Amino acid sequence: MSDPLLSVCQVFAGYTGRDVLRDISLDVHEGAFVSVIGPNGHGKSTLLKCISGLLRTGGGSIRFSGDDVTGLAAPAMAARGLVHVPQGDMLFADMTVQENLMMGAYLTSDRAVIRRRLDEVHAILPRLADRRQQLARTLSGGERRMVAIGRGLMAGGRLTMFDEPSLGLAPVIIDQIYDVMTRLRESGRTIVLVEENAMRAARQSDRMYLLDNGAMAWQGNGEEFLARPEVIRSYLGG
Amino acid sequence: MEVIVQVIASGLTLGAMYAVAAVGLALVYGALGMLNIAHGAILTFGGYAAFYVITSLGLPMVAGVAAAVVVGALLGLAIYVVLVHGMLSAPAFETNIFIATFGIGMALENVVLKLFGAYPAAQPLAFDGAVAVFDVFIPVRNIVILVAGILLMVATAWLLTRTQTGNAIRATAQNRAAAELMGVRVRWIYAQVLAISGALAGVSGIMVSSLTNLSPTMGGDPMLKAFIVCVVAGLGNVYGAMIAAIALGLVESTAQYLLGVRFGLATLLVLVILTLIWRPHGLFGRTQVQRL
Repeated sequence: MSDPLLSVCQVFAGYTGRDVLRDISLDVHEGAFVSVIGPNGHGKSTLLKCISGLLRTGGGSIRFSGDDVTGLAAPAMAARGLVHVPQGDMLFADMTVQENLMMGAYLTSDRAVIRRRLDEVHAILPRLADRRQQLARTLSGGERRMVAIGRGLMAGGRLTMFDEPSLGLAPVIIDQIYDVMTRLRESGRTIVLVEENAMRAARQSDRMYLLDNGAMAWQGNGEEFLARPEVIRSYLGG
Repeated sequence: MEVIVQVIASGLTLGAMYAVAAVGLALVYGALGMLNIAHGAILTFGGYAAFYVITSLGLPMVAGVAAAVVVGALLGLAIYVVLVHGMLSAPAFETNIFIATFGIGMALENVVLKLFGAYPAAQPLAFDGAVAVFDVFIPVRNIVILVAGILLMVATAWLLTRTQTGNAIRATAQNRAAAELMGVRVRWIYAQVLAISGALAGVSGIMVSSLTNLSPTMGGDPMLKAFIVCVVAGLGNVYGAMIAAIALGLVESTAQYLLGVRFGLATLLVLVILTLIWRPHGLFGRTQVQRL
Protein backbone atom coordinates (compact mmCIF):
# COMPACT_ATOMS: atom_id res chain seq x y z
CA MET A 1 0.00 0.00 0.00
CA SER A 2 1.19 3.51 -0.78
CA ASP A 3 2.19 5.99 1.90
CA PRO A 4 -0.75 7.57 3.68
CA LEU A 5 -1.74 11.15 2.76
CA LEU A 6 -1.99 12.04 6.42
CA SER A 7 -0.09 10.30 9.13
CA VAL A 8 -0.46 11.21 12.78
CA CYS A 9 2.21 9.51 14.86
CA GLN A 10 2.16 9.25 18.67
CA VAL A 11 0.77 12.72 19.21
CA PHE A 12 0.29 14.24 22.63
CA ALA A 13 -1.61 17.50 23.09
CA GLY A 14 -3.59 19.51 25.56
CA TYR A 15 -4.47 22.86 27.00
CA THR A 16 -2.37 24.67 29.64
CA GLY A 17 -0.31 21.69 30.63
CA ARG A 18 -3.05 19.07 30.88
CA ASP A 19 -2.89 16.38 28.25
CA VAL A 20 -6.13 15.80 26.41
CA LEU A 21 -4.61 13.50 23.81
CA ARG A 22 -2.17 10.75 24.68
CA ASP A 23 -0.16 8.77 22.18
CA ILE A 24 -2.54 9.14 19.25
CA SER A 25 -1.66 7.56 15.91
CA LEU A 26 -3.85 7.60 12.81
CA ASP A 27 -3.38 7.15 9.07
CA VAL A 28 -5.53 8.47 6.25
CA HIS A 29 -4.94 7.21 2.72
CA GLU A 30 -5.78 9.11 -0.43
CA GLY A 31 -9.47 8.74 -1.31
CA ALA A 32 -10.40 7.13 2.02
CA PHE A 33 -13.29 8.02 4.28
CA VAL A 34 -12.02 7.82 7.85
CA SER A 35 -14.12 8.50 10.90
CA VAL A 36 -13.08 9.25 14.45
CA ILE A 37 -15.77 8.36 16.94
CA GLY A 38 -16.06 8.51 20.69
CA PRO A 39 -18.01 10.16 23.46
CA ASN A 40 -18.19 13.91 23.92
CA GLY A 41 -15.21 15.56 25.56
CA HIS A 42 -12.75 12.78 24.83
CA GLY A 43 -10.46 14.67 22.49
CA LYS A 44 -11.94 14.29 19.01
CA SER A 45 -12.05 18.02 18.26
CA THR A 46 -8.67 18.50 19.89
CA LEU A 47 -7.22 15.94 17.50
CA LEU A 48 -8.57 17.82 14.48
CA LYS A 49 -7.23 21.11 15.85
CA CYS A 50 -3.78 19.55 16.20
CA ILE A 51 -3.85 18.30 12.63
CA SER A 52 -5.05 21.64 11.18
CA GLY A 53 -2.52 23.63 13.21
CA LEU A 54 -5.01 25.54 15.40
CA LEU A 55 -3.43 23.84 18.39
CA ARG A 56 0.22 22.98 18.90
CA THR A 57 1.06 19.39 19.64
CA GLY A 58 2.98 18.56 22.80
CA GLY A 59 4.83 15.63 21.28
CA GLY A 60 4.76 13.25 18.36
CA SER A 61 4.74 14.08 14.68
CA ILE A 62 2.31 14.75 11.86
CA ARG A 63 3.12 14.09 8.22
CA PHE A 64 1.01 15.34 5.33
CA SER A 65 1.61 14.37 1.74
CA GLY A 66 5.08 13.07 2.61
CA ASP A 67 6.26 16.21 4.45
CA ASP A 68 6.77 16.68 8.15
CA VAL A 69 4.21 19.34 9.07
CA THR A 70 4.48 19.08 12.85
CA GLY A 71 4.09 22.51 14.41
CA LEU A 72 2.94 24.32 11.27
CA ALA A 73 0.32 27.01 11.90
CA ALA A 74 -3.21 26.83 10.49
CA PRO A 75 -2.67 29.12 7.47
CA ALA A 76 0.33 27.05 6.38
CA MET A 77 -1.69 23.84 6.68
CA ALA A 78 -4.51 25.39 4.67
CA ALA A 79 -1.98 26.35 1.99
CA ARG A 80 -0.94 22.68 1.78
CA GLY A 81 -4.50 21.63 1.06
CA LEU A 82 -5.70 20.51 4.46
CA VAL A 83 -9.23 21.73 5.12
CA HIS A 84 -10.84 21.78 8.58
CA VAL A 85 -14.57 22.40 8.85
CA PRO A 86 -14.73 23.20 12.55
CA GLN A 87 -17.33 22.33 15.14
CA GLY A 88 -19.94 25.03 15.66
CA ASP A 89 -19.49 26.22 12.06
CA MET A 90 -17.43 29.34 12.97
CA LEU A 91 -18.93 31.29 10.10
CA PHE A 92 -18.19 34.93 9.35
CA ALA A 93 -21.48 36.06 10.83
CA ASP A 94 -21.67 39.53 9.26
CA MET A 95 -20.74 38.35 5.80
CA THR A 96 -23.15 37.01 3.22
CA VAL A 97 -23.39 33.34 2.31
CA GLN A 98 -21.57 34.12 -0.92
CA GLU A 99 -18.78 36.01 0.89
CA ASN A 100 -18.37 33.14 3.33
CA LEU A 101 -18.00 30.71 0.44
CA MET A 102 -15.51 33.01 -1.27
CA MET A 103 -13.42 33.15 1.91
CA GLY A 104 -13.17 29.37 1.61
CA ALA A 105 -11.32 29.93 -1.67
CA TYR A 106 -9.12 32.65 -0.15
CA LEU A 107 -5.89 30.97 -1.23
CA THR A 108 -7.08 30.29 -4.77
CA SER A 109 -6.50 33.09 -7.25
CA ASP A 110 -7.67 31.39 -10.47
CA ARG A 111 -11.17 32.77 -11.08
CA ALA A 112 -12.17 29.95 -13.39
CA VAL A 113 -11.29 27.38 -10.72
CA ILE A 114 -13.24 29.34 -8.10
CA ARG A 115 -16.30 29.51 -10.35
CA ARG A 116 -16.15 25.77 -11.06
CA ARG A 117 -15.94 25.00 -7.33
CA LEU A 118 -18.81 27.38 -6.59
CA ASP A 119 -20.98 25.57 -9.16
CA GLU A 120 -20.03 22.26 -7.56
CA VAL A 121 -20.93 23.53 -4.08
CA HIS A 122 -24.23 24.89 -5.35
CA ALA A 123 -24.96 21.54 -7.01
CA ILE A 124 -24.31 19.65 -3.77
CA LEU A 125 -25.93 22.25 -1.50
CA PRO A 126 -28.59 23.95 -3.67
CA ARG A 127 -29.97 25.90 -0.70
CA LEU A 128 -26.83 28.03 -0.68
CA ALA A 129 -27.53 29.24 -4.20
CA ASP A 130 -30.91 30.62 -3.04
CA ARG A 131 -29.39 32.31 0.01
CA ARG A 132 -26.40 33.91 -1.73
CA GLN A 133 -26.95 37.47 -0.46
CA GLN A 134 -28.22 36.59 3.01
CA LEU A 135 -26.07 37.39 6.04
CA ALA A 136 -24.75 34.28 7.73
CA ARG A 137 -26.06 35.35 11.13
CA THR A 138 -29.65 35.29 9.86
CA LEU A 139 -29.55 31.66 8.66
CA SER A 140 -31.11 28.67 10.38
CA GLY A 141 -28.87 26.13 12.09
CA GLY A 142 -29.05 23.68 9.19
CA GLU A 143 -28.28 26.36 6.63
CA ARG A 144 -25.32 27.55 8.67
CA ARG A 145 -23.95 24.03 8.72
CA MET A 146 -24.33 23.87 4.96
CA VAL A 147 -22.42 27.15 4.58
CA ALA A 148 -19.65 25.77 6.79
CA ILE A 149 -19.44 22.61 4.67
CA GLY A 150 -19.64 24.60 1.43
CA ARG A 151 -16.94 26.98 2.61
CA GLY A 152 -14.71 24.01 3.36
CA LEU A 153 -15.33 22.54 -0.11
CA MET A 154 -14.49 25.88 -1.75
CA ALA A 155 -10.89 25.38 -0.65
CA GLY A 156 -10.64 22.38 -2.97
CA GLY A 157 -8.37 20.71 -0.44
CA ARG A 158 -6.61 17.37 -0.73
CA LEU A 159 -8.07 16.27 2.60
CA THR A 160 -11.20 17.65 4.26
CA MET A 161 -11.95 17.16 7.95
CA PHE A 162 -15.50 17.60 9.26
CA ASP A 163 -16.00 18.04 12.99
CA GLU A 164 -19.44 16.68 13.96
CA PRO A 165 -21.39 18.03 10.99
CA SER A 166 -24.63 16.65 12.45
CA LEU A 167 -24.25 18.27 15.87
CA GLY A 168 -27.36 20.01 17.17
CA LEU A 169 -29.47 19.59 14.03
CA ALA A 170 -32.97 18.21 13.54
CA PRO A 171 -33.03 14.55 12.37
CA VAL A 172 -34.36 15.45 8.94
CA ILE A 173 -31.49 17.93 8.44
CA ILE A 174 -28.99 15.37 9.71
CA ASP A 175 -30.18 13.03 6.93
CA GLN A 176 -29.51 15.78 4.40
CA ILE A 177 -26.04 16.40 5.81
CA TYR A 178 -25.27 12.68 5.60
CA ASP A 179 -26.49 12.58 2.01
CA VAL A 180 -23.90 15.28 1.35
CA MET A 181 -21.23 13.19 3.10
CA THR A 182 -22.16 10.22 0.91
CA ARG A 183 -21.90 12.32 -2.24
CA LEU A 184 -18.50 13.63 -1.18
CA ARG A 185 -17.32 10.10 -0.48
CA GLU A 186 -18.56 8.91 -3.88
CA SER A 187 -16.78 11.78 -5.62
CA GLY A 188 -13.52 10.28 -4.38
CA ARG A 189 -12.57 12.97 -1.89
CA THR A 190 -10.35 12.14 1.07
CA ILE A 191 -12.37 12.75 4.21
CA VAL A 192 -11.94 12.62 7.96
CA LEU A 193 -15.22 12.71 9.84
CA VAL A 194 -15.53 13.24 13.57
CA GLU A 195 -18.82 11.91 14.85
CA GLU A 196 -20.46 10.98 18.12
CA ASN A 197 -23.09 8.82 16.45
CA ALA A 198 -20.98 5.77 15.68
CA MET A 199 -23.66 3.84 13.79
CA ARG A 200 -24.11 6.60 11.22
CA ALA A 201 -20.36 6.92 10.77
CA ALA A 202 -19.87 3.17 10.44
CA ARG A 203 -22.07 2.92 7.36
CA GLN A 204 -19.79 5.32 5.46
CA SER A 205 -16.34 4.58 6.73
CA ASP A 206 -13.44 2.73 5.19
CA ARG A 207 -11.69 2.98 8.52
CA MET A 208 -12.81 3.93 12.02
CA TYR A 209 -10.92 5.05 15.08
CA LEU A 210 -12.51 5.01 18.52
CA LEU A 211 -11.15 7.70 20.79
CA ASP A 212 -11.76 7.14 24.48
CA ASN A 213 -10.52 9.42 27.22
CA GLY A 214 -7.80 10.86 25.01
CA ALA A 215 -6.38 7.57 23.79
CA MET A 216 -7.07 5.32 20.80
CA ALA A 217 -9.19 2.48 22.13
CA TRP A 218 -9.99 0.59 18.95
CA GLN A 219 -9.62 0.78 15.19
CA GLY A 220 -10.98 -1.16 12.31
CA ASN A 221 -13.22 -0.88 9.28
CA GLY A 222 -16.92 -0.08 9.27
CA GLU A 223 -18.19 -3.65 8.95
CA GLU A 224 -15.98 -4.87 11.77
CA PHE A 225 -17.41 -2.15 13.91
CA LEU A 226 -21.00 -3.04 13.07
CA ALA A 227 -20.24 -6.68 13.86
CA ARG A 228 -19.08 -5.85 17.35
CA PRO A 229 -21.91 -4.10 19.13
CA GLU A 230 -20.19 -4.59 22.48
CA VAL A 231 -17.71 -1.92 21.43
CA ILE A 232 -20.53 0.54 21.12
CA ARG A 233 -21.96 -0.49 24.45
CA SER A 234 -18.76 -0.31 26.43
CA TYR A 235 -17.51 2.99 25.10
CA LEU A 236 -20.53 4.90 24.07
CA GLY A 237 -22.98 3.71 26.70
CA GLY A 238 -25.40 2.71 23.94
CA MET B 1 -32.24 80.09 6.78
CA GLU B 2 -28.69 81.41 6.70
CA VAL B 3 -28.12 80.15 10.21
CA ILE B 4 -29.36 76.67 9.36
CA VAL B 5 -27.07 76.45 6.34
CA GLN B 6 -24.20 77.71 8.48
CA VAL B 7 -24.83 75.17 11.23
CA ILE B 8 -25.24 72.29 8.79
CA ALA B 9 -22.11 73.24 6.84
CA SER B 10 -20.06 73.49 9.99
CA GLY B 11 -21.54 70.25 11.37
CA LEU B 12 -20.80 68.32 8.19
CA THR B 13 -17.20 69.58 8.21
CA LEU B 14 -16.72 68.51 11.80
CA GLY B 15 -18.45 65.21 11.08
CA ALA B 16 -16.26 64.43 8.06
CA MET B 17 -13.19 65.20 10.14
CA TYR B 18 -14.30 62.99 13.03
CA ALA B 19 -15.28 60.23 10.63
CA VAL B 20 -11.79 59.96 9.16
CA ALA B 21 -10.24 59.80 12.63
CA ALA B 22 -12.92 57.47 14.02
CA VAL B 23 -12.90 54.95 11.18
CA GLY B 24 -9.21 54.25 11.72
CA LEU B 25 -9.84 53.72 15.42
CA ALA B 26 -12.87 51.50 14.75
CA LEU B 27 -11.00 49.42 12.17
CA VAL B 28 -8.24 48.57 14.65
CA TYR B 29 -10.66 47.89 17.49
CA GLY B 30 -12.83 45.72 15.27
CA ALA B 31 -9.97 43.62 13.97
CA LEU B 32 -7.72 43.33 17.03
CA GLY B 33 -9.85 44.32 20.02
CA MET B 34 -7.22 46.98 20.52
CA LEU B 35 -7.95 50.54 21.59
CA ASN B 36 -5.12 52.51 20.03
CA ILE B 37 -4.60 55.53 22.29
CA ALA B 38 -1.63 56.57 20.14
CA HIS B 39 -4.04 57.28 17.28
CA GLY B 40 -4.15 60.95 18.24
CA ALA B 41 -0.36 61.21 18.22
CA ILE B 42 -0.20 59.61 14.76
CA LEU B 43 -2.69 62.22 13.63
CA THR B 44 -0.40 64.98 14.98
CA PHE B 45 2.55 63.43 13.14
CA GLY B 46 0.56 63.43 9.91
CA GLY B 47 -0.24 67.12 10.26
CA TYR B 48 3.40 68.00 10.95
CA ALA B 49 4.67 65.74 8.15
CA ALA B 50 2.64 67.74 5.64
CA PHE B 51 3.81 70.99 7.26
CA TYR B 52 7.46 69.95 7.05
CA VAL B 53 7.32 68.75 3.46
CA ILE B 54 5.53 71.88 2.23
CA THR B 55 7.07 74.62 4.38
CA SER B 56 10.61 73.38 4.97
CA LEU B 57 11.21 71.34 1.81
CA GLY B 58 9.10 73.58 -0.41
CA LEU B 59 7.35 70.68 -2.13
CA PRO B 60 3.80 70.91 -3.56
CA MET B 61 0.67 70.13 -1.53
CA VAL B 62 0.23 66.68 -3.06
CA ALA B 63 3.60 65.72 -1.61
CA GLY B 64 2.36 66.98 1.76
CA VAL B 65 -0.65 64.66 1.64
CA ALA B 66 1.56 61.77 0.54
CA ALA B 67 3.96 62.48 3.40
CA ALA B 68 1.11 62.45 5.95
CA VAL B 69 -0.19 59.14 4.56
CA VAL B 70 3.25 57.51 4.51
CA VAL B 71 4.28 58.76 7.97
CA GLY B 72 0.92 57.68 9.43
CA ALA B 73 1.11 54.24 7.85
CA LEU B 74 4.71 53.73 8.98
CA LEU B 75 3.85 54.72 12.55
CA GLY B 76 0.91 52.29 12.52
CA LEU B 77 3.22 49.57 11.21
CA ALA B 78 5.81 50.45 13.86
CA ILE B 79 3.19 50.08 16.60
CA TYR B 80 2.42 46.63 15.23
CA VAL B 81 6.08 45.58 15.09
CA VAL B 82 7.15 47.07 18.42
CA LEU B 83 4.07 46.43 20.56
CA VAL B 84 1.34 44.28 19.07
CA HIS B 85 3.42 41.45 17.63
CA GLY B 86 4.97 40.57 20.97
CA MET B 87 1.93 41.22 23.16
CA LEU B 88 -0.72 39.56 21.04
CA SER B 89 -0.41 36.04 22.41
CA ALA B 90 0.07 37.13 26.02
CA PRO B 91 -2.93 37.17 28.35
CA ALA B 92 -4.94 40.37 28.89
CA PHE B 93 -3.93 41.77 25.50
CA GLU B 94 -6.70 44.41 25.47
CA THR B 95 -5.60 45.96 28.76
CA ASN B 96 -1.88 45.74 28.08
CA ILE B 97 -2.05 47.23 24.62
CA PHE B 98 -4.29 50.03 25.87
CA ILE B 99 -1.65 51.08 28.40
CA ALA B 100 1.24 50.50 26.01
CA THR B 101 -0.28 52.68 23.27
CA PHE B 102 -1.01 55.33 25.88
CA GLY B 103 2.71 55.42 26.60
CA ILE B 104 3.68 55.42 22.92
CA GLY B 105 1.25 58.26 22.32
CA MET B 106 2.90 60.39 25.01
CA ALA B 107 6.34 59.60 23.67
CA LEU B 108 5.33 60.52 20.11
CA GLU B 109 3.77 63.76 21.28
CA ASN B 110 7.05 64.71 22.95
CA VAL B 111 8.99 63.84 19.82
CA VAL B 112 6.88 66.41 17.98
CA LEU B 113 7.49 68.90 20.77
CA LYS B 114 11.23 68.32 20.50
CA LEU B 115 11.31 68.53 16.71
CA PHE B 116 8.96 71.44 16.07
CA GLY B 117 8.65 73.29 19.39
CA ALA B 118 5.61 74.11 21.45
CA TYR B 119 4.40 77.11 19.46
CA PRO B 120 1.40 76.57 17.21
CA ALA B 121 2.12 76.79 13.49
CA ALA B 122 -0.25 77.31 10.61
CA GLN B 123 -0.99 74.35 8.35
CA PRO B 124 0.21 75.36 4.89
CA LEU B 125 -1.98 72.72 3.31
CA ALA B 126 -5.19 74.72 3.43
CA PHE B 127 -7.35 76.53 0.95
CA ASP B 128 -8.43 80.13 1.24
CA GLY B 129 -11.57 81.76 -0.08
CA ALA B 130 -15.24 81.04 0.33
CA VAL B 131 -18.22 79.95 -1.70
CA ALA B 132 -21.69 81.43 -1.31
CA VAL B 133 -24.45 78.89 -0.63
CA PHE B 134 -27.90 80.41 -0.03
CA ASP B 135 -26.21 83.76 0.72
CA VAL B 136 -23.97 82.12 3.30
CA PHE B 137 -20.23 82.16 2.76
CA ILE B 138 -18.74 78.77 3.37
CA PRO B 139 -14.95 78.56 3.50
CA VAL B 140 -13.43 76.50 0.71
CA ARG B 141 -11.32 74.58 3.22
CA ASN B 142 -14.50 73.29 4.88
CA ILE B 143 -15.77 72.04 1.55
CA VAL B 144 -12.43 70.41 0.80
CA ILE B 145 -12.51 68.66 4.18
CA LEU B 146 -16.04 67.42 3.55
CA VAL B 147 -15.25 66.14 0.06
CA ALA B 148 -11.99 64.55 1.19
CA GLY B 149 -13.80 62.93 4.13
CA ILE B 150 -16.48 61.46 1.88
CA LEU B 151 -13.89 60.20 -0.61
CA LEU B 152 -11.89 58.52 2.17
CA MET B 153 -15.04 56.86 3.55
CA VAL B 154 -15.96 55.55 0.11
CA ALA B 155 -12.41 54.32 -0.40
CA THR B 156 -12.42 52.56 2.98
CA ALA B 157 -15.77 50.92 2.29
CA TRP B 158 -14.53 49.84 -1.13
CA LEU B 159 -11.35 48.40 0.36
CA LEU B 160 -13.27 46.46 3.00
CA THR B 161 -15.91 44.96 0.72
CA ARG B 162 -14.39 44.74 -2.74
CA THR B 163 -10.79 43.63 -2.23
CA GLN B 164 -9.22 40.39 -1.12
CA THR B 165 -7.40 42.20 1.69
CA GLY B 166 -10.65 43.81 2.86
CA ASN B 167 -12.44 40.47 2.93
CA ALA B 168 -9.60 39.01 4.95
CA ILE B 169 -9.76 41.96 7.38
CA ARG B 170 -13.49 41.52 7.92
CA ALA B 171 -13.18 37.75 8.21
CA THR B 172 -10.40 38.10 10.77
CA ALA B 173 -12.45 40.58 12.80
CA GLN B 174 -15.47 38.29 12.79
CA ASN B 175 -13.76 35.01 13.53
CA ARG B 176 -10.02 34.86 13.87
CA ALA B 177 -9.62 31.08 14.13
CA ALA B 178 -11.90 30.51 11.13
CA ALA B 179 -9.92 33.06 9.11
CA GLU B 180 -6.73 31.15 9.93
CA LEU B 181 -8.36 27.95 8.73
CA MET B 182 -9.11 29.70 5.40
CA GLY B 183 -5.38 30.39 5.08
CA VAL B 184 -5.42 34.03 6.19
CA ARG B 185 -2.14 35.00 7.83
CA VAL B 186 -3.80 36.90 10.64
CA ARG B 187 -0.73 38.71 11.92
CA TRP B 188 0.00 40.15 8.50
CA ILE B 189 -3.61 41.33 8.38
CA TYR B 190 -3.17 43.02 11.75
CA ALA B 191 -0.07 44.83 10.50
CA GLN B 192 -1.98 46.00 7.43
CA VAL B 193 -4.94 47.18 9.50
CA LEU B 194 -2.66 49.28 11.70
CA ALA B 195 -0.96 50.74 8.63
CA ILE B 196 -4.31 51.64 7.01
CA SER B 197 -5.56 53.13 10.27
CA GLY B 198 -2.33 55.14 10.60
CA ALA B 199 -2.65 56.44 7.04
CA LEU B 200 -6.21 57.61 7.76
CA ALA B 201 -5.00 59.27 10.97
CA GLY B 202 -2.26 61.05 9.00
CA VAL B 203 -4.75 62.59 6.56
CA SER B 204 -7.06 63.41 9.43
CA GLY B 205 -4.17 65.34 11.00
CA ILE B 206 -4.01 67.60 7.94
CA MET B 207 -7.78 68.17 8.10
CA VAL B 208 -7.76 69.05 11.80
CA SER B 209 -4.77 71.38 11.58
CA SER B 210 -6.09 73.16 8.49
CA LEU B 211 -9.13 74.25 10.53
CA THR B 212 -7.22 75.16 13.68
CA ASN B 213 -3.44 75.07 13.99
CA LEU B 214 -0.57 72.68 14.30
CA SER B 215 0.54 72.02 17.85
CA PRO B 216 2.09 69.00 19.57
CA THR B 217 -1.11 68.40 21.55
CA MET B 218 -3.49 68.88 18.62
CA GLY B 219 -4.25 65.14 18.46
CA GLY B 220 -5.96 65.09 21.84
CA ASP B 221 -9.27 66.64 20.89
CA PRO B 222 -9.92 64.66 17.66
CA MET B 223 -8.79 61.49 19.46
CA LEU B 224 -11.37 62.12 22.17
CA LYS B 225 -14.06 62.87 19.59
CA ALA B 226 -13.15 59.80 17.56
CA PHE B 227 -13.39 57.69 20.70
CA ILE B 228 -16.80 59.18 21.51
CA VAL B 229 -17.92 58.42 17.97
CA CYS B 230 -16.77 54.81 18.29
CA VAL B 231 -18.47 54.34 21.66
CA VAL B 232 -21.73 55.78 20.35
CA ALA B 233 -21.56 53.66 17.20
CA GLY B 234 -20.52 50.50 19.02
CA LEU B 235 -16.80 49.79 19.36
CA GLY B 236 -15.30 48.28 16.26
CA ASN B 237 -18.22 49.03 13.95
CA VAL B 238 -16.70 50.83 10.95
CA TYR B 239 -19.88 51.79 9.09
CA GLY B 240 -21.58 52.77 12.34
CA ALA B 241 -18.63 55.05 13.06
CA MET B 242 -19.06 56.80 9.71
CA ILE B 243 -22.73 57.56 10.43
CA ALA B 244 -22.19 58.43 14.10
CA ALA B 245 -19.35 60.83 13.18
CA ILE B 246 -21.52 62.86 10.83
CA ALA B 247 -24.40 62.84 13.33
CA LEU B 248 -22.20 63.96 16.20
CA GLY B 249 -20.62 66.68 14.07
CA LEU B 250 -24.10 68.04 13.34
CA VAL B 251 -25.11 67.78 17.02
CA GLU B 252 -21.95 69.56 18.12
CA SER B 253 -22.35 72.44 15.69
CA THR B 254 -26.03 72.81 16.62
CA ALA B 255 -25.18 72.84 20.33
CA GLN B 256 -22.42 75.35 19.71
CA TYR B 257 -24.86 77.66 17.99
CA LEU B 258 -27.78 77.25 20.40
CA LEU B 259 -25.93 76.96 23.70
CA GLY B 260 -22.52 78.46 22.99
CA VAL B 261 -19.20 77.04 21.82
CA ARG B 262 -18.07 75.91 25.26
CA PHE B 263 -21.11 73.62 25.56
CA GLY B 264 -20.30 71.67 22.39
CA LEU B 265 -18.25 68.94 24.06
CA ALA B 266 -20.48 68.86 27.14
CA THR B 267 -23.52 68.22 24.96
CA LEU B 268 -21.70 65.42 23.16
CA LEU B 269 -20.75 63.78 26.44
CA VAL B 270 -24.31 63.98 27.80
CA LEU B 271 -25.48 62.41 24.57
CA VAL B 272 -22.97 59.60 24.92
CA ILE B 273 -24.18 58.88 28.45
CA LEU B 274 -27.80 58.82 27.34
CA THR B 275 -26.95 56.60 24.36
CA LEU B 276 -25.14 54.13 26.56
CA ILE B 277 -28.00 53.99 29.07
CA TRP B 278 -30.39 53.33 26.21
CA ARG B 279 -28.12 50.98 24.25
CA PRO B 280 -25.12 49.82 26.30
CA HIS B 281 -23.33 48.43 23.25
CA GLY B 282 -23.74 51.53 21.12
CA LEU B 283 -26.22 52.42 18.41
CA PHE B 284 -24.99 49.83 15.94
CA GLY B 285 -23.32 47.45 18.41
CA ARG B 286 -24.25 43.81 18.76
CA THR B 287 -25.48 42.66 22.15
CA GLN B 288 -22.14 41.06 22.75
CA VAL B 289 -18.94 42.88 21.91
CA GLN B 290 -17.04 40.50 19.71
CA ARG B 291 -13.42 39.72 20.30
CA LEU B 292 -12.26 38.33 16.96
